[in-house]
Amino acid sequence: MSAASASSALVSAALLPGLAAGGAVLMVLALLAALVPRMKLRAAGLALAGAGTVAALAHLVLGAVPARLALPFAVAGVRPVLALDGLASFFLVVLLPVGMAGLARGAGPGLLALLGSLVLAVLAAEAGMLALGVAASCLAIGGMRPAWLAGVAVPALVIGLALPAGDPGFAAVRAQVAAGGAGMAPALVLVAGGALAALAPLHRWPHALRTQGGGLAGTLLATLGLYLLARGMLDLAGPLAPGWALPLLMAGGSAAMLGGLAAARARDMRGAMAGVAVARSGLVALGLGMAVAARGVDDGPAAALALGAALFLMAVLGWAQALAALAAGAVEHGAGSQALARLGGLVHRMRFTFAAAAAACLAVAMLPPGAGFAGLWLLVRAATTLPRGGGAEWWALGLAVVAAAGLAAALLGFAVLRGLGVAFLGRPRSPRAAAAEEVGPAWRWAMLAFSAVLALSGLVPGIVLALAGPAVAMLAGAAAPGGWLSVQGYAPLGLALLVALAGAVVALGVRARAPAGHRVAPAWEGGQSPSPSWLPFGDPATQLGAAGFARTLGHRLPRLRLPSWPLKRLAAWPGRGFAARVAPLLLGLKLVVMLALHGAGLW
Amino acid sequence: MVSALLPGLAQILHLALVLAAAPLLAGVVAWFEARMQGRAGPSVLQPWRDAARALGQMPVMGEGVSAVSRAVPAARLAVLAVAAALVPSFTPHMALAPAADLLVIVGLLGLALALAVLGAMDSGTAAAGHGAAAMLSRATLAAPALLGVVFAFALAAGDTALPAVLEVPFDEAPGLLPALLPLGLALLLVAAADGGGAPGELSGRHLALDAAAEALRRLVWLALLAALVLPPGLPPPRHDPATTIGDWLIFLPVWGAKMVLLAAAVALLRTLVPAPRAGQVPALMALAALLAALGVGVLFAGQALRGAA
Repeated sequence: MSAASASSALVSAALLPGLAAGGAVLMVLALLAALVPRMKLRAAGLALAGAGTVAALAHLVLGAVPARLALPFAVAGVRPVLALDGLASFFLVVLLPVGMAGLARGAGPGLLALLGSLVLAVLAAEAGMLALGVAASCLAIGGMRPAWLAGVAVPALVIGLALPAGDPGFAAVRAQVAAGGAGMAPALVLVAGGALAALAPLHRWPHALRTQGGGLAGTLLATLGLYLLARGMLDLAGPLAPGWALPLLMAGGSAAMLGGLAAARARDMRGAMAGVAVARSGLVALGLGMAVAARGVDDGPAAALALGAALFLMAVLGWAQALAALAAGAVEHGAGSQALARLGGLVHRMRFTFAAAAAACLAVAMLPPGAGFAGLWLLVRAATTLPRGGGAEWWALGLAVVAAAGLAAALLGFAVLRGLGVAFLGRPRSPRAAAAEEVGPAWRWAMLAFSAVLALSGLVPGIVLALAGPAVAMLAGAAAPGGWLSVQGYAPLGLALLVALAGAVVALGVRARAPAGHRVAPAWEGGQSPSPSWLPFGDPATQLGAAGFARTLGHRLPRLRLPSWPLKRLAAWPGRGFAARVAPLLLGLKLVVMLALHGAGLW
Repeated sequence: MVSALLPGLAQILHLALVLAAAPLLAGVVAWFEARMQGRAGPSVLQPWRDAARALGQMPVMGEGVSAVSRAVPAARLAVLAVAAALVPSFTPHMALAPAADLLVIVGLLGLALALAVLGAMDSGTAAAGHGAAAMLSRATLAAPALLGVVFAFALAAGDTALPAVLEVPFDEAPGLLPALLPLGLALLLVAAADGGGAPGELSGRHLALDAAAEALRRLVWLALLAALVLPPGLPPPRHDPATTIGDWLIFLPVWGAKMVLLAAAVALLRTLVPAPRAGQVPALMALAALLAALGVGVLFAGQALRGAA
């Protein structure tokens, strides 16, 4: 045993510098890509991210023995300390494949820099480096909102984590919290993580990022926000008072519902994916909030269940978004548009892409036996353990969580069924869609790989839960829900086999009793005259479109929206022109000065 | 030895029962509805005959439909058959009982709905698209109420597994009995919001499969209502095979009576209450969610009162 664990520790100690070096090399590649305009760096970025995924997986499989590394030099006054533990590795296993899909969609320097800085932020083991990583991630994407996010998130992190302890190392922060309580640090972590994760009322920003990396830049940055929330609220701050769960649950529940609503109403695939990203953050925040509440009343198993649900949903919905981005890229390439009003009937000419999109949609729609349903199942089960905490407020909280998660899941199902039906089924709505072409084999292999991962996580959720196990054990103090064939009574593989068996019986019965084949006739259009010859695929306008589909949800729902004036102010800040160009630079400069002063002990 | 085989036997009997009862139930509802409107009404076997006749005909499909349209009716029937196999009728102690989970059954109903929507969208006609969108929005708005009801039963039983939920004694969950009224009403509203069937032009075997699936969908909802809300419950586990089979013989007619009662209630509602307009659905679903919340509140009050006493 000791020999095995010693070798695992050795492997961990070797993987940590490798991962950190990979992150640094990604940053250098980004710099190269920015300086040398025509340099092809996509393959190098993909290879590095793939190797990083394998390394993080290996760390998790070998038991996630923690490793720590203090670098011998200082950056901006900060002496970086790196650490690799179960939580960091699990987030890397999610972030890096999503990043690979993003690189496949478009490998600008921004995305490379984002990926590198995400790796460094997740590996950071002290507040200064975490702040640098977060700021670099925000600034790598560019644009106004991320810059603003950097301005909020970074000072909040530095002040929240480093100042009370006087020493920015995570170990010192934990010791300080254990000795004297967390103070206001959780509130600051909540602001930073919630802003990055696009929780309400800041749920609009992924829409601003929906073009970068096929929309995955927003997903990646939101995942970083979720990492901050998990690390700050559950690891560093220790067991918090259960009241801290309330803001997280409220922001998460609102974001889940509003994201689902935005996805259900989006005009194009990008908008739908941005909404799904927000809903994912919200659902994960619900799980994290329940874990905080359960830890606050010392209910380890309930916390483990809630945290397992959160991490599971974070992973599978992240991968589903990556697959959806690949499928959307294939549609854009093959049919010339992502606007739902210009698509339709793609199933006839893009079978592979349809299958991949359907696999992503099954996961996002939270239907069995997809991966999303397993996550929703765990989330609802966790909510039913909440009332163990005591009085009426816990019952109401559990009910609110269940209702919010249910509405969010249903809205996501509405959104993806609408997207799948309008884009891939029915008749083409534009000549370009009627002449769509399937993507090449490399792209198909990529979609197949993500589809296989999603199918496997749906049928055997125990695999993903086992990967999340070390993180759950570390943060919740109890073992994660597990089991290969059945997780706490939910056995998706058996269920899928049952449905397949029933389908086979139905098919055999029909074959025995009914005549084979079918006749084809013009579709009945409610009495409309046949289309003229210049409309060979029928009149597109006689089909229900995406907008009409969304309108059936009713006109009352927009009133759910939160007051928009602060969001509009923030969206407009800092305006256009010179100020807008200088603001990110000033923010970055401010951060470096702050960190340097802090490193010198002056602040 | 015999008692080890009993769950399997119960499962097979149950499956045969629900597969036979589903078209019959559709016929009974239609018959009740006709009687309440003062008509003689068709035979209760009419849905059987219609489906058998459609099965023998060659289907006609619209131009430009894909394999999705051809696969959906059979797939939907398969999903609903699994759901129907999981909701108990005369005994909860069946071979598939470990898989019978409230959330899983809700998920399977959702999957069947999703398949129906995709099949309708594939036909590419305006009417089918509108029908699918309306069906999907109703189900979406019903989700909070549905999960609220599941939450209430899961709290009373400490588990979402259906056998555990059905075996909660009322003296252990003191608020459960009074909470059944709001929970049952909420479940009824949610069940009414689901469905409307797969819109679209179906014929031949597709029509037969779709009619069978539609009948099974209604049966699953009514069987859920019968098992969760209507007294008496289901027989407790026994060790003696003879007593077990005696229980079956008692509870089989009880289940039949419950289903006929619910069929009459459905027919009465359809006769007396006009179908709500699309604009009224959100308000109705909000009412269902409030009823579910009321159920949870009553459950809590019961527990609190017992704690005080």
